[in-house]
Amino acid sequence: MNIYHEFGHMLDNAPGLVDVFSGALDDPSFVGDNGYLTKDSRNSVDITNDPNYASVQSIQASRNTPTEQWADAFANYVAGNINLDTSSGKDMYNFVTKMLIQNIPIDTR
Amino acid sequence: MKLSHTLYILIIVNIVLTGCMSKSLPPTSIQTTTQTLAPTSIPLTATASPNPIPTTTLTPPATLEPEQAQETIQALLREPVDCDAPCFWGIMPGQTTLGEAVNIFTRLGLQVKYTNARDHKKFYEIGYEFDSSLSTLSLLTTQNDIVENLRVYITPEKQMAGVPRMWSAYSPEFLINHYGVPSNVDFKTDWGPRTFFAMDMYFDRMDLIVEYSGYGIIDEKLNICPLTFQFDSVQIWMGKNPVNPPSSGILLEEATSMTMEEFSKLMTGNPNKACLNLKVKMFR
Repeated sequence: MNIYHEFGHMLDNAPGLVDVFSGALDDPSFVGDNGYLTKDSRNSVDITNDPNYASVQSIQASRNTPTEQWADAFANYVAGNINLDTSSGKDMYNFVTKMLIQNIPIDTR
Repeated sequence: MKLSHTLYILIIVNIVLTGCMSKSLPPTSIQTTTQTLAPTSIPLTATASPNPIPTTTLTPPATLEPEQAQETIQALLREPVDCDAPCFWGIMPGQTTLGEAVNIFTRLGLQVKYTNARDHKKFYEIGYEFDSSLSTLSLLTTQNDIVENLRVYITPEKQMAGVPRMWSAYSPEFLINHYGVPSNVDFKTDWGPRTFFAMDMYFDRMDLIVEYSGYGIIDEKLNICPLTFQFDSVQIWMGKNPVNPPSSGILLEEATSMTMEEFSKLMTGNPNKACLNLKVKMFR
Protein backbone atom coordinates (compact mmCIF):
# COMPACT_ATOMS: atom_id res chain seq x y z
CA MET A 1 0.00 0.00 0.00
CA ASN A 2 2.77 2.37 0.88
CA ILE A 3 4.48 1.87 -2.47
CA TYR A 4 1.24 2.92 -4.21
CA HIS A 5 1.10 6.00 -2.00
CA GLU A 6 4.72 6.89 -2.71
CA PHE A 7 4.18 6.31 -6.41
CA GLY A 8 1.33 8.83 -6.20
CA HIS A 9 3.84 11.34 -4.83
CA MET A 10 6.19 10.48 -7.67
CA LEU A 11 3.51 11.29 -10.25
CA ASP A 12 2.79 14.57 -8.47
CA ASN A 13 6.49 15.44 -8.62
CA ALA A 14 7.27 14.26 -12.14
CA PRO A 15 8.77 16.82 -14.54
CA GLY A 16 5.98 18.96 -15.94
CA LEU A 17 3.48 17.60 -13.42
CA VAL A 18 4.66 19.17 -10.18
CA ASP A 19 1.62 19.63 -7.92
CA VAL A 20 -0.72 19.10 -10.87
CA PHE A 21 -2.62 16.32 -9.09
CA SER A 22 -2.58 17.65 -5.55
CA GLY A 23 -3.19 21.20 -6.76
CA ALA A 24 -6.45 20.14 -8.39
CA LEU A 25 -7.95 19.14 -5.04
CA ASP A 26 -10.47 21.83 -4.26
CA ASP A 27 -12.20 20.95 -0.99
CA PRO A 28 -13.37 17.59 -2.33
CA SER A 29 -16.10 15.54 -0.64
CA PHE A 30 -13.70 12.66 -0.08
CA VAL A 31 -11.46 14.65 2.26
CA GLY A 32 -12.85 15.07 5.75
CA ASP A 33 -12.63 17.94 8.19
CA ASN A 34 -9.50 16.36 9.67
CA GLY A 35 -7.70 16.58 6.32
CA TYR A 36 -7.59 12.82 5.68
CA LEU A 37 -9.69 10.73 3.28
CA THR A 38 -13.19 10.14 4.61
CA LYS A 39 -14.02 6.69 5.99
CA ASP A 40 -16.93 6.17 3.64
CA SER A 41 -14.80 6.84 0.55
CA ARG A 42 -12.98 3.55 1.17
CA ASN A 43 -14.21 -0.03 1.34
CA SER A 44 -11.94 -0.80 4.25
CA VAL A 45 -9.97 1.18 6.79
CA ASP A 46 -7.30 -1.48 6.56
CA ILE A 47 -6.02 -3.56 3.67
CA THR A 48 -5.21 -7.21 4.08
CA ASN A 49 -4.22 -8.24 0.58
CA ASP A 50 -0.54 -7.74 1.26
CA PRO A 51 0.93 -11.18 2.01
CA ASN A 52 3.72 -9.68 4.06
CA TYR A 53 1.53 -7.99 6.66
CA ALA A 54 -1.45 -8.86 8.82
CA SER A 55 -3.04 -5.54 7.97
CA VAL A 56 -1.94 -2.30 6.36
CA GLN A 57 -3.64 1.03 6.75
CA SER A 58 -5.50 2.35 3.75
CA ILE A 59 -4.44 5.81 4.90
CA GLN A 60 -0.70 6.18 4.40
CA ALA A 61 -0.62 9.96 4.76
CA SER A 62 1.90 11.27 7.24
CA ARG A 63 0.23 14.69 7.27
CA ASN A 64 -3.14 16.09 6.26
CA THR A 65 -1.91 18.12 3.30
CA PRO A 66 -3.13 18.07 -0.33
CA THR A 67 -0.02 16.21 -1.53
CA GLU A 68 -0.75 13.45 1.00
CA GLN A 69 -4.45 13.46 0.13
CA TRP A 70 -3.65 12.92 -3.54
CA ALA A 71 -1.16 10.14 -2.74
CA ASP A 72 -3.76 8.36 -0.58
CA ALA A 73 -6.51 8.75 -3.17
CA PHE A 74 -4.18 7.31 -5.83
CA ALA A 75 -3.09 4.47 -3.53
CA ASN A 76 -6.66 3.44 -2.76
CA TYR A 77 -7.50 3.61 -6.46
CA VAL A 78 -4.65 1.25 -7.34
CA ALA A 79 -5.50 -1.04 -4.38
CA GLY A 80 -9.15 -1.28 -5.48
CA ASN A 81 -10.27 0.07 -2.11
CA ILE A 82 -12.50 2.94 -3.25
CA ASN A 83 -16.13 2.53 -2.15
CA LEU A 84 -18.22 3.16 -5.26
CA ASP A 85 -21.46 2.86 -3.30
CA THR A 86 -21.00 6.22 -1.57
CA SER A 87 -20.99 9.74 -2.97
CA SER A 88 -17.56 10.56 -1.65
CA GLY A 89 -16.11 7.29 -2.96
CA LYS A 90 -17.50 7.96 -6.42
CA ASP A 91 -16.15 11.50 -6.33
CA MET A 92 -12.71 10.18 -5.41
CA TYR A 93 -12.74 7.54 -8.14
CA ASN A 94 -13.82 10.08 -10.74
CA PHE A 95 -11.21 12.59 -9.59
CA VAL A 96 -8.35 10.11 -9.81
CA THR A 97 -9.38 8.70 -13.18
CA LYS A 98 -9.99 12.17 -14.63
CA MET A 99 -6.61 13.41 -13.47
CA LEU A 100 -4.77 10.36 -14.79
CA ILE A 101 -6.50 10.50 -18.17
CA GLN A 102 -5.88 14.23 -18.51
CA ASN A 103 -2.26 14.18 -17.51
CA ILE A 104 -0.82 10.78 -18.31
CA PRO A 105 -1.55 9.84 -21.91
CA ILE A 106 -2.04 6.10 -22.10
CA ASP A 107 -2.68 4.29 -25.34
CA THR A 108 -5.48 1.88 -24.44
CA ARG A 109 -5.81 0.41 -27.93
CA MET B 1 24.34 2.93 -4.64
CA LYS B 2 21.30 2.81 -2.44
CA LEU B 3 19.67 5.60 -4.46
CA SER B 4 20.21 3.84 -7.78
CA HIS B 5 18.77 0.67 -6.31
CA THR B 6 15.65 2.58 -5.25
CA LEU B 7 15.37 4.19 -8.66
CA TYR B 8 15.61 0.77 -10.30
CA ILE B 9 12.73 -0.50 -8.14
CA LEU B 10 10.64 2.55 -8.95
CA ILE B 11 11.18 2.09 -12.67
CA ILE B 12 10.06 -1.54 -12.41
CA VAL B 13 7.01 -0.52 -10.38
CA ASN B 14 6.30 2.23 -12.88
CA ILE B 15 6.25 -0.27 -15.74
CA VAL B 16 4.04 -2.68 -13.80
CA LEU B 17 1.62 0.00 -12.67
CA THR B 18 1.43 1.60 -16.08
CA GLY B 19 0.51 -1.79 -17.47
CA CYS B 20 -2.21 -2.16 -14.86
CA MET B 21 -3.58 1.30 -15.46
CA SER B 22 -3.80 0.86 -19.21
CA LYS B 23 -6.25 -1.97 -18.59
CA SER B 24 -8.17 -0.54 -15.71
CA LEU B 25 -8.82 3.02 -16.78
CA PRO B 26 -12.38 3.30 -18.00
CA PRO B 27 -13.22 5.47 -21.00
CA THR B 28 -15.85 7.30 -18.99
CA SER B 29 -16.20 8.20 -15.37
CA ILE B 30 -18.74 6.80 -12.96
CA GLN B 31 -21.98 8.72 -12.93
CA THR B 32 -21.67 11.25 -10.18
CA THR B 33 -25.26 12.39 -10.10
CA THR B 34 -26.92 11.34 -6.90
CA GLN B 35 -30.67 11.25 -6.86
CA THR B 36 -32.40 12.36 -3.72
CA LEU B 37 -35.52 10.37 -2.96
CA ALA B 38 -38.49 12.39 -1.84
CA PRO B 39 -41.08 10.78 0.40
CA THR B 40 -43.75 11.30 -2.23
CA SER B 41 -41.81 9.33 -4.81
CA ILE B 42 -41.04 6.10 -3.10
CA PRO B 43 -40.52 2.99 -5.19
CA LEU B 44 -42.43 0.08 -3.77
CA THR B 45 -41.84 -2.45 -6.50
CA ALA B 46 -38.81 -3.30 -8.56
CA THR B 47 -38.69 -1.83 -12.03
CA ALA B 48 -36.56 -2.57 -15.03
CA SER B 49 -35.25 0.97 -15.04
CA PRO B 50 -31.71 1.51 -13.74
CA ASN B 51 -33.01 4.45 -11.75
CA PRO B 52 -35.33 4.07 -8.80
CA ILE B 53 -38.39 5.40 -10.58
CA PRO B 54 -41.48 5.27 -8.40
CA THR B 55 -44.33 2.96 -9.26
CA THR B 56 -46.44 3.39 -6.15
CA THR B 57 -46.30 5.85 -3.32
CA LEU B 58 -46.63 5.78 0.44
CA THR B 59 -48.14 8.57 2.44
CA PRO B 60 -45.25 10.88 3.34
CA PRO B 61 -44.73 11.38 7.05
CA ALA B 62 -44.67 14.73 8.82
CA THR B 63 -41.11 15.96 9.19
CA LEU B 64 -39.91 16.83 12.66
CA GLU B 65 -38.57 20.27 13.39
CA PRO B 66 -34.72 20.30 13.29
CA GLU B 67 -34.43 20.54 17.08
CA GLN B 68 -36.89 17.69 17.58
CA ALA B 69 -35.13 15.62 14.93
CA GLN B 70 -31.77 16.16 16.60
CA GLU B 71 -33.16 15.11 19.96
CA THR B 72 -34.69 12.01 18.42
CA ILE B 73 -31.48 11.04 16.64
CA GLN B 74 -29.48 11.64 19.80
CA ALA B 75 -31.86 9.39 21.72
CA LEU B 76 -31.59 6.68 19.05
CA LEU B 77 -27.79 6.75 19.25
CA ARG B 78 -27.85 6.56 23.04
CA GLU B 79 -30.32 3.69 23.34
CA PRO B 80 -32.29 1.80 20.69
CA VAL B 81 -35.98 1.95 21.58
CA ASP B 82 -38.05 -1.15 20.77
CA CYS B 83 -35.65 -2.01 18.01
CA ASP B 84 -33.04 -4.68 18.72
CA ALA B 85 -30.26 -5.47 16.26
CA PRO B 86 -30.19 -5.96 13.37
CA CYS B 87 -32.93 -3.34 13.51
CA PHE B 88 -31.60 0.20 13.07
CA TRP B 89 -33.84 3.18 13.85
CA GLY B 90 -36.86 1.04 12.98
CA ILE B 91 -35.37 -0.43 9.80
CA MET B 92 -35.24 -4.22 9.91
CA PRO B 93 -32.97 -5.71 7.23
CA GLY B 94 -34.76 -8.32 5.15
CA GLN B 95 -38.18 -6.90 6.03
CA THR B 96 -38.36 -3.13 5.74
CA THR B 97 -39.12 -1.77 2.28
CA LEU B 98 -37.14 1.07 0.77
CA GLY B 99 -40.26 3.21 0.91
CA GLU B 100 -40.70 2.59 4.61
CA ALA B 101 -37.02 3.35 5.23
CA VAL B 102 -37.28 6.60 3.25
CA ASN B 103 -40.24 7.60 5.39
CA ILE B 104 -38.29 6.92 8.59
CA PHE B 105 -35.42 9.13 7.48
CA THR B 106 -37.73 11.76 6.02
CA ARG B 107 -39.53 12.08 9.35
CA LEU B 108 -36.13 12.96 10.81
CA GLY B 109 -35.55 15.53 8.10
CA LEU B 110 -32.81 13.45 6.45
CA GLN B 111 -32.37 13.08 2.70
CA VAL B 112 -31.97 9.65 1.15
CA LYS B 113 -29.56 9.74 -1.81
CA TYR B 114 -29.38 7.06 -4.46
CA THR B 115 -25.69 6.38 -5.06
CA ASN B 116 -25.11 3.22 -7.05
CA ALA B 117 -26.53 0.04 -8.57
CA ARG B 118 -24.66 -3.19 -9.11
CA ASP B 119 -25.24 -6.94 -8.83
CA HIS B 120 -29.04 -6.40 -8.83
CA LYS B 121 -28.69 -4.21 -5.73
CA LYS B 122 -29.18 -0.50 -5.25
CA PHE B 123 -27.38 1.64 -2.71
CA TYR B 124 -28.59 4.70 -0.84
CA GLU B 125 -26.85 6.95 1.68
CA ILE B 126 -28.14 9.16 4.45
CA GLY B 127 -25.90 11.55 6.33
CA TYR B 128 -26.34 13.57 9.50
CA GLU B 129 -23.98 15.92 11.32
CA PHE B 130 -24.45 17.16 14.83
CA ASP B 131 -23.23 20.54 16.03
CA SER B 132 -20.56 18.62 17.93
CA SER B 133 -18.03 16.65 15.93
CA LEU B 134 -20.34 13.61 15.98
CA SER B 135 -21.68 12.56 12.60
CA THR B 136 -23.32 9.52 11.06
CA LEU B 137 -23.61 8.17 7.54
CA SER B 138 -25.93 5.26 6.85
CA LEU B 139 -25.55 3.17 3.70
CA LEU B 140 -28.52 1.02 2.70
CA THR B 141 -28.25 -1.99 0.39
CA THR B 142 -31.57 -2.80 -1.23
CA GLN B 143 -32.69 -5.63 -3.45
CA ASN B 144 -36.18 -5.81 -4.93
CA ASP B 145 -36.93 -2.67 -2.91
CA ILE B 146 -36.30 -4.43 0.39
CA VAL B 147 -33.50 -3.18 2.64
CA GLU B 148 -31.16 -6.18 2.61
CA ASN B 149 -28.54 -4.83 4.99
CA LEU B 150 -27.03 -1.59 6.14
CA ARG B 151 -23.71 -0.14 7.15
CA VAL B 152 -23.48 2.82 9.49
CA TYR B 153 -20.42 5.01 9.92
CA ILE B 154 -20.27 6.94 13.17
CA THR B 155 -17.61 9.57 13.72
CA PRO B 156 -17.56 9.93 17.50
CA GLU B 157 -17.49 13.28 19.20
CA LYS B 158 -14.49 14.30 21.26
CA GLN B 159 -14.90 12.39 24.46
CA MET B 160 -14.86 14.18 27.78
CA ALA B 161 -14.22 12.49 31.09
CA GLY B 162 -17.41 11.78 32.98
CA VAL B 163 -19.66 12.59 30.00
CA PRO B 164 -21.44 9.59 28.43
CA ARG B 165 -20.58 8.95 24.81
CA MET B 166 -23.26 10.14 22.39
CA TRP B 167 -23.16 6.81 20.54
CA SER B 168 -23.47 4.61 23.63
CA ALA B 169 -26.10 2.37 22.00
CA TYR B 170 -23.23 0.86 20.01
CA SER B 171 -20.58 0.86 22.73
CA PRO B 172 -18.99 -2.48 23.71
CA GLU B 173 -20.52 -2.43 27.18
CA PHE B 174 -24.03 -1.69 25.96
CA LEU B 175 -23.94 -4.36 23.26
CA ILE B 176 -22.64 -7.02 25.66
CA ASN B 177 -25.15 -6.07 28.35
CA HIS B 178 -27.94 -6.07 25.79
CA TYR B 179 -27.09 -9.00 23.52
CA GLY B 180 -24.82 -11.15 25.67
CA VAL B 181 -21.36 -12.56 25.05
CA PRO B 182 -20.13 -11.80 21.51
CA SER B 183 -19.63 -14.64 19.04
CA ASN B 184 -16.16 -13.35 18.22
CA VAL B 185 -13.84 -10.48 19.01
CA ASP B 186 -10.68 -9.71 17.09
CA PHE B 187 -8.01 -7.03 17.00
CA LYS B 188 -5.90 -5.35 14.32
CA THR B 189 -2.92 -3.05 14.67
CA ASP B 190 -0.56 -1.25 12.35
CA TRP B 191 2.40 0.93 13.13
CA GLY B 192 2.87 3.42 10.37
CA PRO B 193 2.66 6.16 9.36
CA ARG B 194 0.32 6.58 12.35
CA THR B 195 -0.33 3.85 14.89
CA PHE B 196 -3.65 2.20 14.11
CA PHE B 197 -5.89 0.02 16.24
CA ALA B 198 -9.19 -1.71 15.52
CA MET B 199 -11.38 -4.01 17.57
CA ASP B 200 -14.19 -5.95 15.89
CA MET B 201 -17.11 -7.47 17.79
CA TYR B 202 -19.34 -10.04 16.10
CA PHE B 203 -22.84 -10.95 17.30
CA ASP B 204 -23.75 -13.66 14.81
CA ARG B 205 -27.23 -14.34 16.19
CA MET B 206 -28.15 -10.69 15.58
CA ASP B 207 -26.34 -10.35 12.23
CA LEU B 208 -24.43 -7.53 13.85
CA ILE B 209 -20.78 -6.52 13.48
CA VAL B 210 -19.25 -3.44 15.10
CA GLU B 211 -15.73 -2.16 14.45
CA TYR B 212 -14.07 0.44 16.68
CA SER B 213 -10.93 1.98 15.24
CA GLY B 214 -8.61 4.85 15.83
CA TYR B 215 -5.21 6.37 15.17
CA GLY B 216 -2.59 7.24 17.74
CA ILE B 217 -4.30 5.45 20.63
CA ILE B 218 -1.97 2.49 21.19
CA ASP B 219 1.61 2.25 22.32
CA GLU B 220 4.18 -0.50 21.88
CA LYS B 221 3.01 -2.32 25.02
CA LEU B 222 -0.43 -2.77 23.46
CA ASN B 223 -2.37 -1.99 26.60
CA ILE B 224 -5.81 -1.26 25.24
CA CYS B 225 -8.80 0.35 26.97
CA PRO B 226 -11.79 0.03 24.61
CA LEU B 227 -14.22 1.86 26.90
CA THR B 228 -12.13 5.00 27.29
CA PHE B 229 -10.18 5.17 24.01
CA GLN B 230 -10.97 8.13 21.77
CA PHE B 231 -11.95 6.20 18.66
CA ASP B 232 -11.95 7.94 15.28
CA SER B 233 -14.54 5.63 13.85
CA VAL B 234 -17.30 3.23 14.84
CA GLN B 235 -18.67 1.19 11.98
CA ILE B 236 -21.73 -1.03 12.19
CA TRP B 237 -22.89 -3.73 9.80
CA MET B 238 -26.41 -5.06 10.24
CA GLY B 239 -28.24 -7.75 8.32
CA LYS B 240 -27.18 -10.74 6.27
CA ASN B 241 -24.51 -10.61 3.54
CA PRO B 242 -22.88 -7.40 4.81
CA VAL B 243 -21.15 -5.32 2.15
CA ASN B 244 -17.41 -4.92 2.68
CA PRO B 245 -17.38 -6.35 6.21
CA PRO B 246 -14.25 -5.76 8.29
CA SER B 247 -11.23 -7.84 7.48
CA SER B 248 -10.38 -10.49 10.02
CA GLY B 249 -7.89 -9.73 12.77
CA ILE B 250 -6.27 -11.75 15.53
CA LEU B 251 -8.88 -13.48 17.65
CA LEU B 252 -9.29 -12.54 21.30
CA GLU B 253 -8.18 -15.97 22.51
CA GLU B 254 -4.94 -15.71 20.50
CA ALA B 255 -4.32 -12.04 21.14
CA THR B 256 -4.83 -12.33 24.91
CA SER B 257 -5.07 -15.09 27.47
CA MET B 258 -8.74 -14.26 28.10
CA THR B 259 -11.87 -16.20 27.29
CA MET B 260 -14.85 -14.49 25.68
CA GLU B 261 -16.70 -14.62 28.99
CA GLU B 262 -13.80 -12.97 30.84
CA PHE B 263 -13.60 -10.28 28.17
CA SER B 264 -17.34 -9.64 28.41
CA LYS B 265 -17.16 -9.37 32.17
CA LEU B 266 -14.27 -6.92 31.90
CA MET B 267 -16.12 -4.76 29.35
CA THR B 268 -19.23 -4.54 31.51
CA GLY B 269 -17.38 -3.67 34.71
CA ASN B 270 -15.71 -0.45 35.79
CA PRO B 271 -14.96 1.48 32.55
CA ASN B 272 -11.75 2.93 33.96
CA LYS B 273 -10.41 -0.55 34.65
CA ALA B 274 -11.65 -2.14 31.42
CA CYS B 275 -8.19 -2.49 29.91
CA LEU B 276 -6.38 -5.53 28.58
CA ASN B 277 -2.93 -6.35 27.31
CA LEU B 278 -2.58 -7.77 23.83
CA LYS B 279 0.30 -10.18 23.21
CA VAL B 280 2.84 -8.00 21.43
CA LYS B 281 4.41 -10.96 19.61
CA MET B 282 1.09 -11.68 17.89
CA PHE B 283 1.07 -8.23 16.29
CA ARG B 284 4.68 -7.88 15.19
